[in-house]
Amino acid sequence: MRSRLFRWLLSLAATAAASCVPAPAAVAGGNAEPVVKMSFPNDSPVLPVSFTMGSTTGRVRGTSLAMDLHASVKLRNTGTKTISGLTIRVSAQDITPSGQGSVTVPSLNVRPGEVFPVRVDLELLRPFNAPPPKGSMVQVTLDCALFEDLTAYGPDRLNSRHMLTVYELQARRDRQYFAKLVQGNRWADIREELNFGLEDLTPVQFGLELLHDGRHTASGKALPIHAVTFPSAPVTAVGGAAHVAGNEVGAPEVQVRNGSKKLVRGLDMGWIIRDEHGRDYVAGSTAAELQLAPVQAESVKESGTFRFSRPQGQPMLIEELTAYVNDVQFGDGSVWIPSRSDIKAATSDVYLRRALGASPEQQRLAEIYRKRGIEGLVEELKRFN
Amino acid sequence: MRGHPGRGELALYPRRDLAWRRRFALWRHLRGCATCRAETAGFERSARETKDLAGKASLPFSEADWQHLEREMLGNIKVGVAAARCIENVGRGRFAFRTGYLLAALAVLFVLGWMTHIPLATDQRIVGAIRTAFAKRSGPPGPELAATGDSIGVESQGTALRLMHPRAAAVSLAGSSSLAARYVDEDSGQVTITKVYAQ
Repeated sequence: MRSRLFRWLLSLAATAAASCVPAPAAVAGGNAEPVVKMSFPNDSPVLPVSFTMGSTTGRVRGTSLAMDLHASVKLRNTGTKTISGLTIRVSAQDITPSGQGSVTVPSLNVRPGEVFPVRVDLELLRPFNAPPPKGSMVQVTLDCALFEDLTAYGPDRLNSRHMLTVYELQARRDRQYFAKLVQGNRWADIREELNFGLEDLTPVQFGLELLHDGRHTASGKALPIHAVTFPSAPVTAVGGAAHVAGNEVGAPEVQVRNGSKKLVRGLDMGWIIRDEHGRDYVAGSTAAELQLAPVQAESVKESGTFRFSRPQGQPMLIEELTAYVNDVQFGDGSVWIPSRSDIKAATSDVYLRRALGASPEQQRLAEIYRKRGIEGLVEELKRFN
Repeated sequence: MRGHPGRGELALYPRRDLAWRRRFALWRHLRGCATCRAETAGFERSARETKDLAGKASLPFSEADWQHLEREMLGNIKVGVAAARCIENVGRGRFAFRTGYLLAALAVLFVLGWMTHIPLATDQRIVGAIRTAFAKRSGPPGPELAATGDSIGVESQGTALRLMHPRAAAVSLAGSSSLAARYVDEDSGQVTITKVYAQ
């Protein structure tokens, strides 16, 4: 009895001591390596100018230590071309190679010699019995830098060059669109497109899990997948089906047809889900690599199970699924994205239209309009022209 | 002690069946009262004679008599136990019937209440949760991606990497093995897109 009490007091003291340990000192890598290490090649077009670690904390969570790391880095464009976008890769030793992260900053427009900031805020969870790390716990490296002429630099391990290219094409499309609205003095249209300068206080959010643990929802009902078609799309989604059980979507499959005269080697399939209240959400997109010759049709399948939930955690029941082709990569390297008129013609649902056309650049311009008004927007558009 | 004690007390005195105070008081009285002393002696004599007669009147029991008595006693005991068993379950069956009836009525009430008050969507959620909990894994557990209110993360074998974002970030699928969160950085005004990948 006394020995049991003594053991309990000892474990309580150990837990209290562990919760007070400052994270970097407690979990510094071997040989006093920094917790977060940045490494850029010498010939990289961007090089760090300064690197600061913000407040770093550690706390006990069950049988693991959770560390909050906040890093802020200033990068300088040391090349000769303007950088349109950048992706840096964040990898943690404990979870590599099965997991990693990235931070992408599109719509940069950083000229040679200019400096721009990038923030990395992350949380690491390590079990107490994990072996001590060899070297730094977190490595930050450059994955891809996209230039103004759509050439790129970097190992591109995360296929980020393609996404940066899509973001840049969307940004150019939207800047041209708003520039035309400004030239035509269509201020009402601008205000409507940019949400009237109002901050979106209730962003559409939902919880999302991707499971690849072999669990499947084969017992769920087979739900047909509807297709949204853009008029000028070279590849169209014809239809498909998925297994849906409550809030889980398993093994969705969509048939696509190449209506162009060029070879298609990849596409991004966008997904729209409708919940039990009839509300639509743009769930995101999944990439598919394929070799689709002109006029050819093929099925695009997704492995794994998608589980949706509300922000508070309640399951979100899926009533309907819709797919659309978000972008297409051709064999010659060129990329197709839907134009503004394509998006307008695809659906009459105003909310869905806004979600389909919500590019990072539109979001950035909306923020500029909200903070600096129409003058700030015009000034920003002139920067690119 | 005033007067004379009662005849009952005088009868109990020789048998020592009185409290000690009363006995002491009677003893003092009998020392000075010949009448009461004579009566007490008479009661003592009668008690002795009765005892002698009782001793003479005791009946001798033989071994056969004891066996007969034993059999009678055992028989009486068995009859009593059997009678007790007969009345043991009287009323119990009725009680069990009432309890079962009550439980069945409560179950019907619960089911009717569930059907009329709980939305079908909740039924589906519960069924979905149960199905998920008992779903068989057809392979080893792999890394899992999850989005919460302020982060997107990848977890594998107890370790996790989560990229934090403001609550207003828009979270979405970014591939069959990745999640993305998009927001505008308040300090720089840049759109920032964080992603986590499971491989």
